[in-house]
Amino acid sequence: MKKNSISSAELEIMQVLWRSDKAMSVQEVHKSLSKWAYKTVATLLMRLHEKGAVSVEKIGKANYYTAIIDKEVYKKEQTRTLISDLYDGSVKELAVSLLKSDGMTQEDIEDIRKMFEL
Amino acid sequence: MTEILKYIAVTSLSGGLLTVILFVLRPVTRRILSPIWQYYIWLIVIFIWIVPISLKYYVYTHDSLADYRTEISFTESASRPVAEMGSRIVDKYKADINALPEEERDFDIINIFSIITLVWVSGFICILSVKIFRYIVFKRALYKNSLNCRTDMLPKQIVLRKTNMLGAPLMIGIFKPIIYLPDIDISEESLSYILKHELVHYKRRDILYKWLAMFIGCIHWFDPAVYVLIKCIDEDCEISCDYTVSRDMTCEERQSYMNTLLDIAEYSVKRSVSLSTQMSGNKKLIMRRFTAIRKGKRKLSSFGAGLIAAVIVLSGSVYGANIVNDCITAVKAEAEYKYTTNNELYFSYGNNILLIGTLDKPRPLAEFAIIINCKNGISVLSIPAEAELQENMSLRYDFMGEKREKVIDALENKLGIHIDKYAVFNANALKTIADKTDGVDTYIEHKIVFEDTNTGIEKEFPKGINKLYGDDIIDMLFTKDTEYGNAEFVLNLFSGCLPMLFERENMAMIGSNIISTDIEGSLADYSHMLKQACYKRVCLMLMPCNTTEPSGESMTEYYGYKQRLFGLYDRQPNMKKLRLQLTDIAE
Repeated sequence: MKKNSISSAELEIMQVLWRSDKAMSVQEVHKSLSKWAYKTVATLLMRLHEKGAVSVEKIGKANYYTAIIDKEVYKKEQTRTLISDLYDGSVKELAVSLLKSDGMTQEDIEDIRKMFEL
Repeated sequence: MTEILKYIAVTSLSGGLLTVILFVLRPVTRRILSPIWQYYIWLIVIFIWIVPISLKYYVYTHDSLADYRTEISFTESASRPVAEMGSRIVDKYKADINALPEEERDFDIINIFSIITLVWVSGFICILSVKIFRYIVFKRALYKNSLNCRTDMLPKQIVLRKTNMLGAPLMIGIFKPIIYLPDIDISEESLSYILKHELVHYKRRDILYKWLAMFIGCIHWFDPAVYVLIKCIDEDCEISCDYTVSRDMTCEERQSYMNTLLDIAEYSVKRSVSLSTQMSGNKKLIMRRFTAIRKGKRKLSSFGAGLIAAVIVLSGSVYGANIVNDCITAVKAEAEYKYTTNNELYFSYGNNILLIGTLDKPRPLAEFAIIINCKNGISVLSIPAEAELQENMSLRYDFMGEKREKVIDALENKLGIHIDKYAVFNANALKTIADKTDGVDTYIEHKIVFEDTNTGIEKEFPKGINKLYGDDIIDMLFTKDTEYGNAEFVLNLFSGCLPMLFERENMAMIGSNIISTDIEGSLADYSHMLKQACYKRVCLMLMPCNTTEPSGESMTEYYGYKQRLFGLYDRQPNMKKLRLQLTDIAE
């Protein structure tokens, strides 16, 4: 799955979907998040679908949405990103790592292998 | 507050200079020095970033009475052109301010300095707090998302944990270090290499070294050179660590070591979530590390080369630091002298310096005083023995004691001027100065007759210009027995010899005969501004006296009312004429 870039608003929709154990329609989601307009909720769900975070199924006239991403997996990804950003930010000055590889590609590794006959 | 700024500026400039020099020389030093030397040489650089080195040396001269010590700055010749340049900049700034109408001339240099200090402090606090905050969050998040791991290869103090949050092994923590491994299968052999590497970091306390560099980076956050420093230390840390780990390895072991590193790198690249757009400086670094590993153990001859390199670097940096320090001092002295408006106080030294000469016989007394207003000129203050500043307080007797602060306050009240700084010096220094230059030409208003204290013989100096030597000067200054009082004589004497007195080496001599002062730094640093002051105006101020017993008839005319600095002496047309005469001569 490509890297998530779920906004905070979209995240709230995801929370609702995660809490439920069945597919939800726009109306049902909107009931839990009545602070937003119906149209807003619909748009957000559509965006989430485009991002591949939810799947949609037409039952009767309405669209029913289910969360595809696993909540735990999402949280872990967020933590991983956080840790990575913090490290690049300032922690790398304060800890010792075996090596740093930002900006390197697989080709670079191959080049090195060739150069040193490894 | 300006002292802090000066400290930061000096250390930043000299540290930055040295950092850049070493950075540029790196291709060379890498070849001469072993990787460990290359790593630790940055400690010298860090030292320069912390300590503002300033060296002075002393020249000793001896005369019949005492030894005099003249302080000479190590790099004075190098700093003079900078001081002149700084002086021109300050002049330009002053001209700009003076071009404004008087109401708008609010902005002064001390405000600028305060603002700069404020900006620096805020930057420092912000950056440091953000770094520490990030560090704490990172540590916590990492710990929570990791599991403990067992191994026999590590000493008990070091904890080993596995996590899927990292792409490469990492050691973090100063007091309770934890090594984190990525969540992949690692063979025993690879693990041993990894842990050997981290153990070297642990034993050398590399994390502490890096924290030190980080702290310097926070203090000098505005200086781009400090970021160069941090990066260099980082790289040389890893290179030297590999070197230590692989130094005694066989060829095959080295291969395995390098393979381990590459496998980790490959894994790290594959799973990378980092959006870092760093160009592959990391590729170069890995190549450098591998080259060093391949090269293997360096021969002992590099120790000698390393020593030579360290000596050159250290002396170069000391010299550089001195130049920077002296330049800043010189520019600051110029700026302080030149920039004044409305007689307000600027910088820590202000405008009015009280110089008091004293002889040690029979007990220390304030014998004569000069008040220098660095902008407007010089006033010579003649102190009659009986003059009382206020009830039970005499300048002459009480200045040298514990009441000094109170005496200065009373003096300010009496004279209506503010004394910013004072210096008390041994007047014998005047003797040496006078004798150095083959006597001082002094205009004598009335014939003076007095007894020479050494020989007991009566000495006579006719009206007109006389050449006075050190002994004569001291005797005439401190004797009470002149017909018209010491006042005019003192004025004439000082007018004649002030320009010479304020020559740098003579100021230095006075400076080394200072008995007490609240001036920070060397008196010789003020030489230039003092000389300028004495070419502007020199006049006499008479210490008002409460006594009903004047020491001489002509004295009663002078005392009795307060006189302001550089004021007009309406009641003594002679005095006025005298003053004009002398300033003409001086110019």
